[in-house]
Amino acid sequence: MSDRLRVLGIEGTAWAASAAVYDTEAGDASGRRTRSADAETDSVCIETDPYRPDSGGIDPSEAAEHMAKAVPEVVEAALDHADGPIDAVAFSRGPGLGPCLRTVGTAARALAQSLDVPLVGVNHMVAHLEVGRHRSGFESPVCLNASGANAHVLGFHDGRYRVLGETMDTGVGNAIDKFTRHLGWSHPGGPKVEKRAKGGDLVDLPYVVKGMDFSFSGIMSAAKQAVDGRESHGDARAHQNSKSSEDDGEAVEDVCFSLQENVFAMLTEVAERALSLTGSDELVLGGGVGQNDRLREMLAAMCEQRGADCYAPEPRFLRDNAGMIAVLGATMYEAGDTIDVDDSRGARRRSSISATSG
Amino acid sequence: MTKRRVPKAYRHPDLDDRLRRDRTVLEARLTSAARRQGVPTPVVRDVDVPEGTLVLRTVGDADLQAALSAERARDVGRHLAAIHEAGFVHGDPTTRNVRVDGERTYLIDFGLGYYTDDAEDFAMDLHVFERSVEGTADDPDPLREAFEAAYADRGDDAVLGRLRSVEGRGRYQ
Repeated sequence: MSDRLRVLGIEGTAWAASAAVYDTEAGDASGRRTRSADAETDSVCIETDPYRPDSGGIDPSEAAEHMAKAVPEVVEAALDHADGPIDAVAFSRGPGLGPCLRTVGTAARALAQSLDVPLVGVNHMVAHLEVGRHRSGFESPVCLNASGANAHVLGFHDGRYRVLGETMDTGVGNAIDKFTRHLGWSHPGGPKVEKRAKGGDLVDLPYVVKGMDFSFSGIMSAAKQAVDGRESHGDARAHQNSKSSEDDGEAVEDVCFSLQENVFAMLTEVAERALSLTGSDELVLGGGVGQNDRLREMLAAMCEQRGADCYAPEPRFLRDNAGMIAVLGATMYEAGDTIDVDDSRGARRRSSISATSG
Repeated sequence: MTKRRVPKAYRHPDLDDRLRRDRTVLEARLTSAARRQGVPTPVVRDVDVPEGTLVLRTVGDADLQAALSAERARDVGRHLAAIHEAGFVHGDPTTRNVRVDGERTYLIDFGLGYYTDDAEDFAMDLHVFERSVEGTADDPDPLREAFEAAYADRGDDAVLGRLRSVEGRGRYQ
């Protein structure tokens, strides 16, 4: 990058009302562990206010209300950290929940207009991938994206991503949530499974890899049956604390442990196969489930065994965040890929298309 | 050549043992079963299940990945139709698991295969192959057409129909 840039990013596709300022030349310590020349000297300041449902999962209209209230606040907080004028406003254009996308799109347009700067519409999924590639400095990596609604492995080559393998049913986080909801645990289930898995023993669960694709529905059904025991049709919540011999189900600790062992080994196996197919020796992890220590450990062990480099971004860049929107927004701004602010109907139309395709 | 399934350090040792044993047994069984259907595959000389090793005859001069052509894609389509007709799938028919020489196109590495009669499973085989072609070829369309035409010649049309629905399920196309 030649000129210093400050880009404000706004994220709000689902639960995270987030704003960030990406400064290409702030030179603070945030990027020091990475190899990229850009990431050595830049800085990303992120402000996030998460939507927390009272019970169950995300309610799209409640989430949109949260965005309407929280986005102006996080934007203001992020702008307070900027030590100079903003050059562009980047926002998460989709895919995501329709009501959230409309709210955030409107906020971004209004802000770009009032600051009189260009507006950049960023694809949320590409941002998840790009932030890791940017911070790793890798040229042609394989990217494993493991998030709530997604699970796929991609190759990056000649300036474009290609999907090499992906889940044939649900995203990895949502799959785990199906199991934890069965136990009466609140969303998100992944961190709770990770905690309960400690000290568990391996029980037999399905392991489903088809080439570089994979599926989770069979293993989640088996996991539910394993905690219930075969004959049990009773209240699943009763099993929450059961390591007793009262029923014939497996201990919750053991099922959590085995779930992690199987699901993350499946993801690691397809990532390894993708490295082998593409001939790449660089792996980048992305997505919120990438915060799981066991998954990170497996990927690191796999890469070490085959002599590949593995890069896992810090957790703040893995879960939904505006930092990744600002970083990709800066690249797109430099490439001239901006949206005409006055054409607000056009921008709105794009948002709703993204909403239906997400 | 001796093929050994190397233990994977990232996997739980018990899970790793289970997968290596299962895959070694299946590979031996299905490699021979495919040859009985007229599909060129390596001859299996020896199997050691506890060690996870197979002794196989080396086949081909190169991976299909390095010698991709419409004619080779047609061969793969024909071979997959033959094993599907016999009631099993390859499980991982990527361009790296096809070997070629001057005369023949071989399928190798049946370790992820299994017996099935479900059109969905057959469609997944086709999907995996097309995905790997797209991942390596700059112009995959003619290769995919040749592959599907050859499969349609011998295979079940319902499988190609199911392939379209499998593709539709992917999120990023």
